[in-house]
Amino acid sequence: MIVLQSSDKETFEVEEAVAMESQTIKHMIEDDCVDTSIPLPNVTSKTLAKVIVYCKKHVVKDKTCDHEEELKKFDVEFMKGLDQDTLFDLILAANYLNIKSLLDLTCQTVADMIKDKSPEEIRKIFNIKNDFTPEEEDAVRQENAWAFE
Amino acid sequence: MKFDLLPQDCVSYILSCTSPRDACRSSTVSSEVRDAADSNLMWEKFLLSDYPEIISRLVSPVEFKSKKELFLKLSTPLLIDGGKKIFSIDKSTSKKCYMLSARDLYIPWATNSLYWCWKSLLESRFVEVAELIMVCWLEIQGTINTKMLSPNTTYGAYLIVKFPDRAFGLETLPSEVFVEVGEHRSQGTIYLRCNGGIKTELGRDSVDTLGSRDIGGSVERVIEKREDGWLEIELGDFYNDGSEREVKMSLREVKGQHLKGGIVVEGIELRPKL
Repeated sequence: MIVLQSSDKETFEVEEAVAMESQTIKHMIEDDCVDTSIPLPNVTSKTLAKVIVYCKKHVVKDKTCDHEEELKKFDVEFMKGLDQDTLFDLILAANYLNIKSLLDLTCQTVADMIKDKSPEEIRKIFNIKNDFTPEEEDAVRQENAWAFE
Repeated sequence: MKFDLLPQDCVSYILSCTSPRDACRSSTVSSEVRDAADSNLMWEKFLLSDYPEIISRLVSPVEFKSKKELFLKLSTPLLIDGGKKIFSIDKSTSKKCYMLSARDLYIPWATNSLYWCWKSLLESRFVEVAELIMVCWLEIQGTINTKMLSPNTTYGAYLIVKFPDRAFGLETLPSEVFVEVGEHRSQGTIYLRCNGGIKTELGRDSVDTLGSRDIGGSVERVIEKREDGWLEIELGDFYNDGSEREVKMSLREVKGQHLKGGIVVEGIELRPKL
């Protein structure tokens, strides 16, 4: 068993195989850098708990059609109803912990929110400030004119 | 807001999960998003993994300062394989498209100047197009190996043609069109009407060129106008699952004993079908 410690000092005991879903943790274990517990200063307990739920489900390497279907359903449920803050926390955690499948899943979810939207809609959804001057924005639009046809 | 906390790599990764069009549109959201949208990391994903090999086969070298620039250049039609084919990346789907030139097709009697002649046309991207003088046996066939195309994609094959004023005999009988890959066969019929309308069963002309009609298992195709001034006839479609197979695409009117002439063939285009 491996002990993971979140940024807010909560500890989570998980099986080594589950922890190794994270390439970052895998390298730490293989390079023998691990003490009693592995500190993860970039991940809060709330996010780490969710990551562990994901890894526990995905650690089973069963290539059957049924299992693949089950995983797909799990992924859909996992992403359902997540608020934006949690979604981005998961992306940051998946990136830091280097869990490719979770990064793919979370990034695709955000990508689906961007698809076919206008720049103004995207700004609204993610509360992004437009830091272009009108002239700069015009220039970028001209550069990418084909995308607006 | 949390979005601002994402490192540029993550934003690039998110944008690479959309489409080239969405990514370019997002460039105007903010300077940070623009930087992520212009990054080589992102455009690497849209560029096909074998792009170095494709670049090596182009007739004219392409120069590029960024992966985005390379993608945009490759998404314009470019002569490849000694000028026998044209290649481009479909901007919306990032999939490969090819046009086989008339010289790259199998056209019986095409080497005999009594039946077919080869000429240069300004409106064609190829050096030569084939014009039918007259034959009884009209057959135009192209083949391509699926390994040249993008996997996990449905492709449509289209014969690109023009009908000069002197065209004759082409619409007397319907031509057969088909696409064959392994066990799969997609087929149809078409009346090569020179004014582009479709001929209905009752013989009434219809100016409506949208859509095809099903007639007893074989779809009646229509001639569609293209943006480049040519006309296209859908020969059929197929799904490329990534396995290596030969695709055969064909138009034939070989049942009629009468002479036909006047069709100009630019080539056969393969592009993703949405």
